Parts: sequence; structure tokens; C-alpha cells
Amino acid sequence: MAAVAADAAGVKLAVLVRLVEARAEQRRRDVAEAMLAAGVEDAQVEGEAVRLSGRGLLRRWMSDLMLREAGRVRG
Amino acid sequence: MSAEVAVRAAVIAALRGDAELMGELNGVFDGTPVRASTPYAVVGECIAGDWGAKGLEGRELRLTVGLHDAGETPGRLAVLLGRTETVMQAVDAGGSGWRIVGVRLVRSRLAKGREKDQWQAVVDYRLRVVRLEGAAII
Repeated sequence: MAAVAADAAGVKLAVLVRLVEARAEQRRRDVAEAMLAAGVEDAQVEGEAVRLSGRGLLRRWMSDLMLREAGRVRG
Repeated sequence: MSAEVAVRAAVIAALRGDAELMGELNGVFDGTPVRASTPYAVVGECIAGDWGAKGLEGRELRLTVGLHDAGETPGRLAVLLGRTETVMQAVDAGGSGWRIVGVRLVRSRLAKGREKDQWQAVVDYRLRVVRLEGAAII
């Protein structure tokens, strides 16, 4: 009986992990889309990172809160 | 008063009111100054979103504090960042009609400036606030 309960808990955990991973993946896609919409030249999801590139991006990043928050909050 | 304006003003007042921080800075500016000598701090943009509940008006704010310094290393900025964090955790919006119920550092970035020996730090804070009962909506 204890083994069945442990198996059920394992299944529940696996489902939760999948849900969390799917949510994180969606968040990364949202961020990448928002970055492109904000005028960033390139935004790609690479594994667990959203990689941005573009001319003058660092300077803009440091001075623009909306860009840093793009895809994260609804302002 | 809107939460953005009230809390931003409270943060500026708190930073300016901290003797230890002001002992290290030439100024705390409300927005990017036209001219300033390092080291100085800038309270920048503020974004607000809803953080209310039934019968409770609330806002979640994102607020930026920027620090600028000149030097071979960002050592002094590290001290300033630490003190800024202490001040931010103690900010009280007081009589503005809003109560700050949470302050959290969202992200912080330290970067070399474009000019020689210039350093810049940007810190974004998340502040959650609720309107005090009886406070007027203006």
C-alpha cells in the first residue's frame, strides 16, 4: 500500500514539474516576443535563457525600465 | 495621490534623508539630471500594475534606483548598493495614503560606463502597496 502511495506521489510530482516547466517555457516565449515588440533587434529562446542582441542594447537596457520588464508585468 | 507618485516621492525622501548614504553621494536626483558629479543616485522610472483584492486597493510597483560613480573599480558602488538596499527596506510612505507592505529587489546590474572609469549600477525594486482605509482618492 505504501508503495502505491509513493508511486502516486511520484506521478503527481512529475505532473507538477511538467506544468512548471511549461509555464516557464511560455514565460520565456512571452519575454522574447515582448522584447521584439519593444524594438530589440533579435530575441531568441536558448534553453533556459532569452538571448537578446542589437546595437546599443546594453545602454538601452540600463536606462529603460519598460524594456527590462517587457513580458514580465502588465504595466 | 497615485501610488506611483506617492511611493516614488517617499523613496526619494528616504534616500535623501539617510545621512550615511548622503555622506557618500553628491546628490539623489529625481530623474536623470542634466549635469551631476559622481557619485550620485537617480530615482528613475516607475511602473505600476494592479495588486488589489476585494475591498482592497493595491498596486505592485517597479521602481528603479540608479547609482553612478567614477573610479578604477566599482568598490564604492558596492557600498552604496548595500546602503541603498537598507534604506529601501525601511521606506515608509507615511501620510501619502498608501502603506508599503513589501519591498523586494528584482534585479541589479553593474556595468562599466562608456567613459573611462565610469561605473553604473541599476537596481529594480518591486514594491507592493495598499491604500490606507479612509485615504482620499485624488
